[in-house]
Amino acid sequence: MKGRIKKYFGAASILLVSSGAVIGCGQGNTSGGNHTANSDKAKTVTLKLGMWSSSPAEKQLVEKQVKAFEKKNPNIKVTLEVITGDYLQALQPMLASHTAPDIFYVDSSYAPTLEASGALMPLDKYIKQDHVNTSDFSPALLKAFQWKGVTYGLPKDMNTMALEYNKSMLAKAGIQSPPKTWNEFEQDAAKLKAKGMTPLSMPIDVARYYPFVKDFGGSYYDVNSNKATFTEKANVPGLKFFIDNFKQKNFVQPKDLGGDWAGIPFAQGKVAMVLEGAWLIPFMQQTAPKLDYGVADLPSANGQDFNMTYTVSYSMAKSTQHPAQAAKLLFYLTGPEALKMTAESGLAIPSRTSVQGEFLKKYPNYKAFVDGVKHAVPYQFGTLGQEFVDAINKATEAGILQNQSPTDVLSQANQTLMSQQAQ
Amino acid sequence: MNGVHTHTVVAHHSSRRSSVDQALAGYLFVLPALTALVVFLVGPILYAFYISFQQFSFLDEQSNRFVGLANYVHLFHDPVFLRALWNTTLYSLGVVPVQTALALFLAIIVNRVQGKTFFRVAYYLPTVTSTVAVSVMFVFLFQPRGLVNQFLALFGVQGPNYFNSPTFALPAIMVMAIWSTVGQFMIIYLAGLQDIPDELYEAAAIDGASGWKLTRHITIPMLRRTTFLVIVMSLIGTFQVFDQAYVVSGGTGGPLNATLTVILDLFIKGFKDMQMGYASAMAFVLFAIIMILTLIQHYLVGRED
Repeated sequence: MKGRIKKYFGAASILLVSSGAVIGCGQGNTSGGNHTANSDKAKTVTLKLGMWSSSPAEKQLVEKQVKAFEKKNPNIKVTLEVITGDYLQALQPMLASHTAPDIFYVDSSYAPTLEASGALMPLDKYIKQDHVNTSDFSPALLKAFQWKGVTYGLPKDMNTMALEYNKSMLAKAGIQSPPKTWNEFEQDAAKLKAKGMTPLSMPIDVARYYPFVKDFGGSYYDVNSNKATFTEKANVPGLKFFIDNFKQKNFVQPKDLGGDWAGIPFAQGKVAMVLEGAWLIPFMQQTAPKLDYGVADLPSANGQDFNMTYTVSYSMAKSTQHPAQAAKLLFYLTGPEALKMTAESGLAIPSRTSVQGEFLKKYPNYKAFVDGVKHAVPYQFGTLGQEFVDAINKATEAGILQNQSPTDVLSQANQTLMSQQAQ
Repeated sequence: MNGVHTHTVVAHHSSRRSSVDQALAGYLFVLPALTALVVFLVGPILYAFYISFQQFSFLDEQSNRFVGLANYVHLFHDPVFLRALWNTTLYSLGVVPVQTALALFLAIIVNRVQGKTFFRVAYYLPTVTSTVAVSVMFVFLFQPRGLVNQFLALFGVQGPNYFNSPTFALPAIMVMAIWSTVGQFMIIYLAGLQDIPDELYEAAAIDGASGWKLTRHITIPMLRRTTFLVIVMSLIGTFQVFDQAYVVSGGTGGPLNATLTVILDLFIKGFKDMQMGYASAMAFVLFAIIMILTLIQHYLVGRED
């Protein structure tokens, strides 16, 4: 008899512990804001901020900004939730189960998909209420987080492309200054090749070569209809220019020079020029502090100097329990005060033009990146997102590796995209 | 008489009680595990099956709708999925036979050689190493001027840029997979080898068999069940290959879809393109394929004599 009781007790206690753990988990996930339900005067509201962290310094910066915000708003507490691994993969189920952080980073490349899905909170009402000055943001950045005229996020920082060049390599080939146009580039490339050097390294990625297409008057995407326009004839010259440069070995893929991305061969002195964003600068400081390089504006083609901007916003989850407080936090983090801290840290280029001047004073070699945003289109293709990018990248890759014509590449991209969407 | 009778009844009764009790206690003990299994495994599988008949996005619940078999039908018209299936099949055909043969070979050798333990550990080590770490290591080995190409250069052969070549990317991943999992199957074979009675070898030796003949006519047939297990496990593993392809191609399946495997395609569709319904349908098609292949093998290799 005693034995039996013991047995039951053992089993029951295991059960109790495990069910307790399950319940505990459930509560852990939904916390972050059931406090105000009881009374409107609730002392403190806790908000969650979702972010990725490219380095410990980034987390420290956000912590500093949040602390300054908490000081000004004593009844709002903010906890950081740093998502490691694939950000979008982690975010999706959180948004679906309404357990997403109150405000969080959104990258411009998939922003339209989240906006169109209704997972994000429209901000226009709060922008008006709080009198947020949005004209201070560069238009391209603001537009990156608007969908059908509604604002779903405010940019916190930005990046564009510039031409980075290895000074001693250019000098060896007898080139005085970096090319200002792509025609000049082709002449310089010939000189570099004559000396056995690789002129420029860039990946076969629409995220980098799309400015060529735009410069020559083409466009892969129509914003108004949210449709891909690969097969437009105007796209051929830009793509042809890109493919031809690969054929002539003016452009070489980073992979062929033994790197995941162009920064690696550039830091190793294996290539004279690269087209990268401002993330190259801290990378060069770390890996090749002695290499003497310059940063010039992205060369123009056909009299146009389009650029591409990669930007990240703070957006609000529609499921938030405290939209007013979350909006306050969002506006603070994208406001002049917080962005000044960003500018000082030098981690990213602040999105407000009023802060950029101060930023450039401290970090003058970022000028080309800041100027680039004037003629930049955001790196995003509506809700077509990743499918669009995959379709055109794989087709372009085939064009270069298997010698296909630009027209074939474009119709292949179109066909692939169609086959992925038709359901 | 009467006393005896009641006694037996009581005994009978109590033994039945106690067996029910025992079963109940048993169920109570497994209940936590069972609950976890149902909540975190069976439940999601059933739900995935349910959404595989829908156009389904996590984020946009309003637009989720029932589409019947459309996801499944579309799969067989989707060139990207078919390419992924083809790559995965090639990968399996390349990896499974080589891996099995190599594992058997190593097991037989390690079983006889001096310093057994050392070799067991040495060959098993890659299996317990993270596949991502292994992939990164192989990315270095297979670089245009990496170790492999420098070795080839000694013989005057100009090696390709493996992971950026549509022809060589998949074979390079195969080599990586064989290297990293062969140890695991070697261990299974080693266990199988212990089970073969020595008398069989002695009897065969008396009959004049030796060397290769012993291996061919005793070791291999006696390892039949083990081989079945190894092939099934290796086949399931190869059809579910993901990490290596993900790391080597940076998550895209490139170059030119050469390293796009079914699971990688599924991952891209589900988490990047947000078509969960379609991705679920893909998972069930893969499940069906693995199931059918396993049944065929069971029929060919695994039957009891």
